[in-house]
Amino acid sequence: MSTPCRHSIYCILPPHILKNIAKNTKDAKQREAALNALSVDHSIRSDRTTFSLLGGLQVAHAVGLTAATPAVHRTIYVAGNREKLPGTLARSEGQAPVKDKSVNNAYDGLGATFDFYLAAYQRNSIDNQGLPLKATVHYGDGYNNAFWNGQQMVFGDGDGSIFGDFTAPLDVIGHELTHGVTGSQANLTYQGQAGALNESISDVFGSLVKQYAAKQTANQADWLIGKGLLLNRNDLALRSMAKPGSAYENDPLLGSDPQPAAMLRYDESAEDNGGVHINSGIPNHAFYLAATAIGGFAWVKAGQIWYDTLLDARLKQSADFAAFANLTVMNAAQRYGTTSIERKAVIDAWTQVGVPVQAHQAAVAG
Amino acid sequence: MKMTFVRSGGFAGPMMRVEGAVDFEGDKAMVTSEARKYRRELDQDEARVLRDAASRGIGEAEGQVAPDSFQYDVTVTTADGKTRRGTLHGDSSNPLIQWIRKESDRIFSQK
Ligand SMILES: [Zn+2]
Repeated sequence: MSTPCRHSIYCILPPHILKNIAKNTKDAKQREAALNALSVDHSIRSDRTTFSLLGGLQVAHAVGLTAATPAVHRTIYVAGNREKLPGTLARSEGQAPVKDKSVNNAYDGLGATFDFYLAAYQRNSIDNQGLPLKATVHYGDGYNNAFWNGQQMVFGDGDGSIFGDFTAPLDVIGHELTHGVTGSQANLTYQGQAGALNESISDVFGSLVKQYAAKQTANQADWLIGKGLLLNRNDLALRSMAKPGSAYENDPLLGSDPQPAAMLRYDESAEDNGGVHINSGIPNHAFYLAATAIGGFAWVKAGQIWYDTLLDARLKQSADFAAFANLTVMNAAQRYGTTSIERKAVIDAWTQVGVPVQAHQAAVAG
Repeated sequence: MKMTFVRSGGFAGPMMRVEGAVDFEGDKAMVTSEARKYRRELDQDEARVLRDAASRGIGEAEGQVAPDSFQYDVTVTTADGKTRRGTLHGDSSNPLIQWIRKESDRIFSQK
């Protein structure tokens, strides 16, 4: 399964550098050492690689350099209602379902998200290098949250009165895994507009994971985030990409959805890292508008444009909405042409939510 | 002494926002959250531990913010009128944040 990492320096080099060494060096010993390090068990490498996915050392990616055939490698742990990570191993890749529904939800959800990224964008896991996917369920006591900690996904059970199990909706799992993808690509700062873009990208691809699994077109999809997570409120969700601000209204416990659909109602609060879960409604809605205007399966064209933008080297960590929007226009032009209906749909979408885009091809990137 | 706090963020975002205040009076304390019509009187032990934790300070934010983690904004006003503010993220081991976390859950779930 693994080859010991005998040359320590090679053990700390990221895979893409090892691959470059293996490919380019004329020294046979160096090549062998690099190849040995590359073959080290992913579970050993994962902790170092994932360290970089929350703003540490940025992992670079070279499309086409992935050594092995992409294959999902999932490990699900249970925290037993404590807050120690990762917890106790409950199910590894290839093992049969267990009795614990949350474990199976997480296993299946990670698999569906991995499959989506591979099929839609030929992306091999979070880092496009086959990073093993790790998740812990039953985290905390009645814990009303799910998060990505830079190394793994973490899911609470919910309090059982307002929130149910956070592993239940597929888009929640897709959302959290996408935070890892963003962390390994543009690594958008989790604050203000860059943070709201970070959130929005997770909502966009979380929703697309759900649509891909259900084989829904843009017009068939509900565009809701977290539907099914709220107990006794089956019709409600946490966010609506189609109609931000409408996911819940006048609820005695939850209040009303404050998400804006356009810049006119941008929230300047310092709370929640500058309103990242509120202002994400604006780029969320822009994506919805572009996807429904283009039509068909949303992950095919609109999703591809957003994905190209996430991978675009011009997208800075501190990007604001306008910088991101301009890059989506450029990427739409790049992929579908400057006179394409896809590019026009993207321009119209951003214009409708009040984010200015430059219709020409100037390089604007934050 | 008085302490106010706001919890924001988390995957569910604004629907989980909680704000609360703690008024320390003698050896007791009262927690209130007007928006959620919540009141809880702390017993002497809990009030003492919380007062100590609040007096020690809020601490500094550590490192990167994990996406979808909670944000806690805390303001402590001491008897001499001095005010200290702080912001922390995530599941900090800071005892003050631990208490605010639990109390925020209690307020949110109306327990
Ligand atoms: Zn998120």
